[in-house]
Order: sequence, then C-alpha cells, then structure tokens
Amino acid sequence: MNASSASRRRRAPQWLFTHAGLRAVILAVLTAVLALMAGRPDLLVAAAPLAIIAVWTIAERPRGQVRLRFRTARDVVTEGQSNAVIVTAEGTEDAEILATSVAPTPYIERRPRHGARAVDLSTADPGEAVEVSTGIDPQRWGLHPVGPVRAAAAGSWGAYMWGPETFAERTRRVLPAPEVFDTSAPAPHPRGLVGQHRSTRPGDGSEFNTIRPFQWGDKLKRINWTHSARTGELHVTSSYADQDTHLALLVDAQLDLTPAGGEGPTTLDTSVRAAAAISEHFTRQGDRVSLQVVSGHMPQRLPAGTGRRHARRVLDVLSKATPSAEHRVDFDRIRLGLPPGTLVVMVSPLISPAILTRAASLARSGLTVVAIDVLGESFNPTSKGESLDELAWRIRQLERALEIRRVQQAGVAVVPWRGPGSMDMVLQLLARRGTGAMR
Amino acid sequence: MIRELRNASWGQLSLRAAIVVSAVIFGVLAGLVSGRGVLDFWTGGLSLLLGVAAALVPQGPAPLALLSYVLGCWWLANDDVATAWSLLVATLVLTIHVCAALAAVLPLPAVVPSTVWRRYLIRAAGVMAAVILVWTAVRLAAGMTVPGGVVALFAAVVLILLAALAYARWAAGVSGVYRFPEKGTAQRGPGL
Repeated sequence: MNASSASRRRRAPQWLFTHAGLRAVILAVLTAVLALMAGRPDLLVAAAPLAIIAVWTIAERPRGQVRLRFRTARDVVTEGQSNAVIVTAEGTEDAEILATSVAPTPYIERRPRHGARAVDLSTADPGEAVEVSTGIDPQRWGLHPVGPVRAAAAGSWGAYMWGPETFAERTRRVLPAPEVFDTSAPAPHPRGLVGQHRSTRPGDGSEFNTIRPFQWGDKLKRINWTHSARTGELHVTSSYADQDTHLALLVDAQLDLTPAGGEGPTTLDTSVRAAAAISEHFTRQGDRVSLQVVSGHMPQRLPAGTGRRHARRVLDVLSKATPSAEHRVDFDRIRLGLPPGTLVVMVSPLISPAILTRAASLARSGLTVVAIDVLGESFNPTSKGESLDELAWRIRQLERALEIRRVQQAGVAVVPWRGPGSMDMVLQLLARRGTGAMR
Repeated sequence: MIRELRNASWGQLSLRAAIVVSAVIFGVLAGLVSGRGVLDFWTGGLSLLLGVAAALVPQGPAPLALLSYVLGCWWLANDDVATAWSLLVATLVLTIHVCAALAAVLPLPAVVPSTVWRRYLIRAAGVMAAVILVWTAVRLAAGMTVPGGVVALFAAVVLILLAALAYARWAAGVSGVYRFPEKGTAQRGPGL
C-alpha cells in the first residue's frame, strides 16, 4: 500500500466516536471504579446518567455507510429567481440528525439566513434518500461560486458522527434580468429580407405604398379591381417591403462604477441589464442582433442571430462580462465586418475616452451609431463629505460633457437610458434622415 | 467564538445557556453542601468558568473537564452518601452532557428541530427514571431508609414506563415528510 492510497483510506468518511461519546464512556468507567474503591455509592448515582448513555450509544452504534451528495436545483438562473443547494443523504438508517451548511459567497443570499440546516432523520422511512435543501438567491448577474457545502450525520446521543464531508464549490451562472424596454420607432436602415420594419423600397410587404398600372411580373392577387374598373386599365396595389435590420450591440465593460455607499446598481449592472432588454426586444421582433462586450480582460463577441435562443445566448455572453480597461484599441479594425446599414447601439457610462473614440470612429465609417448613456445625472460615486473627491468628480463630469458633445458632432446620437422609449426619438430622427438621404 | 455566537440560533443558545445554568446550580449546591459558601472560588467560581468554557466550545474537551470537575467536587464536598442531592447532581450531569453533545453536532446557526427537542426530553426523562431506580437500589443495598419508601420506587417505575410509552408513541406517530412519488425521496427544506 503506497502513501497516497494510505492517505485516501485515512480520509475516507466513516462513523467516528465523538467527544461526547468518549466523555460518557471515560467518566462512567472512572467514576464507577472510584465509587467502588472509595465506597461512595452517591458517586455511582451521580455518574449513572453517563453510564446509561454510554451503554445506550454502544448498543446503538451505527454501522451503515452514509452516502452524501450535493447538487444545485438549477445550473443557470436569472436574477431574481431562486436556486437551492440540495444535499442528498442515503444510508441514514443509523443516523438521527443530518446537518448541512453552505458557506457564504458574494452576491448569494442564503435561506435560512446563515445557510445552516439540521433535520431529524428518525422520522424518515428506512431505505429512503433524504434531501435537505438550502435556498440560495443570487443578487447579481455573473458567474458565482456556490459553496463549499458541508454535511454531517450524527448518531444516537451525538456519540457518533459521520463527516462532516466538505463538497467543493461549484460555479453557477446567473443571467441578467432584462430591464423593461420597448420602442415603437422603426429601424433607420432595414436591409434584411424578412422582418417587421417598413423598407423605403417597394416590394412584398403589408404596408400600403401606392396604386400603379399593372406591370409584367405583378401578382394577380394584387390587382385593384375597383380602380381598374373605373379607369378601364389594370392597376395593382403596391406595398413597401418588410425588412429586418442588423443591430450591433456594444457593451462597455471597461469600468464598473459603484454608487456612493454601495447601494443600488453599478454602471455595469445597468449596462448589462439595458443591453439584455434591447437585445430581447429586437430579437423578439425578428431583427438580427450581434453583441460585443468591450473589455480588456475578457472581450466577448457573439455573431448576429435572431429568435428566442439567440436572446438566451446574448444573456449568456452578457453574464460573463468582467470589468477591465482595454490596453490597446486598433481603430483600423474597429468595424470588424459590420455591414452597411447596421444600427450600432453602444451601451456605456461614457466615461472611458477609448469608448467615445470607438463610437466616433464607427460613426465616421458610415454606420448609424446610438450611444446609450447609463450613467445618469444623479449618479455619484463619491462619498458624502469627501470634498476633494466630489470636486474631482465634478471636473470629470465637465470633461465628460465636452467629450460627449464632440462625439455628437462626429455623428453619434447620445441618449440617456430611461427604459421604455429611450431610443424612440433618436431612431425616428435617424430613420427620417436615412429616408432623405436615400431620396 | 463570541462573534460567531451572534449568529447562533435560539436553540443553540438555549443549549449553551443550559450548560452554564447547570454549572452555576452545581456551584451553589457544592458550596452549600461543603459549607464553603456560595461565593467560594473552588466551588462556585471554577464551576462557572468551566461552564462558560463548555458552553463556548462544546465540541472540545471543555465539557469533559466540567463533568470531571462536577463529579470530583461532589466526591470531595459531599459527606452524606445517602443524600438525595445526588439525584440533583445526576440531573445536572445529564443536562450538561446532553446539551453539550447536541450543541456539538449541530451547526451554530441551525434551528434545532422540534422533534429533536421532544425526543431528547423524553429520553432524558427515561434516563432520570433509571437513575432514580439506581439511587433507590443503592439506598436499599446500603440498608438505609428510603425517604418516601415504596412511593419513590413506584414513582421511578411509573416514570420509566411513561417515558418508554411516550417515546414509542412519538416514534411511531411522527409524520409530515413530503415524498416525491416518482423518485421515492423525502424532501425537507424551504424549496424554491
């Protein structure tokens, strides 16, 4: 037997005599001997409970093998949903109490509050597996460790104990909960073949364009019989084509500012939730959405797609966003295959000069760029009473306002994030501008 | 340790408080029986210190030290081998041992299930009834007059029978376990 197998054998969980069991046996034996030697029957009486318990525990010595397992109820949850750590115990016929505890981890709230539970096993049917669940409620999107989890079983009078066995932590993904978002404005330059946006070109669609004379190739079902009868010439009802658009979402994960006091969502929280809401809205209406998470640590990219599955993929990628500043930006490759007509929506607190330069570069390359400012006017990361910090923040805000004005001059539409309707006005203006340009 | 106690459940605090209270009661009893007074360090003070240590670290050797002290102190302090105070000492020994054992196996913030309280109370009553029998037997074997005579013996037997009956009924009648019919497992916990 080599050293490693010996250590494995030593570490294998088994029923162990506890301090309580040992205490009862030692004190019962010693006191009995002392009472007999000293002729003190009152000592026998005083130690009688320990003697009875010692005999009881030895008679009920647990022999079976307890098998403990740990899993979570769900592998992936969305913010606001509940999850649970479930410890399953088998072979607990000889055990009386099963105790579990889940270690605290950031952004995970445990139910009960301290993550520890104890259940009475004597009421369970023999041979049945027992499950003990501890609620874990994620408080924030991202990848969060769950555990380590410890579980132990105790025998009669707490004299024997199985474990505690420690289960290593497991990482569980929490998807961001999309904020409420809706827009009724059309996309500025729809280019795709199928969708809900009215194209500027006539073609197959549902929106009325005009009544014009019949041409070769027109479908017979489009003949307007009323107008044809009146004019004595065949006329057809033509329509605008319905098209979809490509929306390129750029999420700025370079900075993550926390509001003063740590209360409320951080800038990255708002960015991620806003991006989730926008992507969900556009994928639901049939548009193609691609995603790029701009971060120095772990930039993420998701090709364009549509539908519910794609919306889920977007949430997956967003949940991996890690705040880190970009080290180097290659402005020659910034467009990265975005086709003409793509609507670029950049979600950012617009604090990093690099992200503003990126937005301006994209706008200069001919794309329609909308920058959504998630910082808000009331956001303040400085603590009250820190006058120098407040002054620095005010100076930075003035600089930022200047930078935003320059970016707007470069053709980037900047709108503050206000949930539903945030992009309506700017999209309508862009669509009008686009129509004019095409005419 | 004291910082961790702030997270302790009411049940855990009760178990630990019972250890300290038992130690204090023994200190008072030992002081009175030995004639050294209640405020004597070797009877009252040491008992309290060991009680607090056992309450703070019930999973360590502190309860062993406390119980050793209780039994040793009783041996030295008590001259009357026939005294009925031995029954009180036995009760305190039982309380300290059981509370320390339970406090050691349960996580500090975990709520102690009510069924566990009930089971341990019934068991402890059974054990105490057996101790009364032992005490009666010791008195009879020593040729001494048993206070209450047959009544004490009868009361102990009745107590044992009642404890055994209550335990059997409770063990057979406890229910409330939710089952998953398709998996055949028992679910306990808040669920989702």
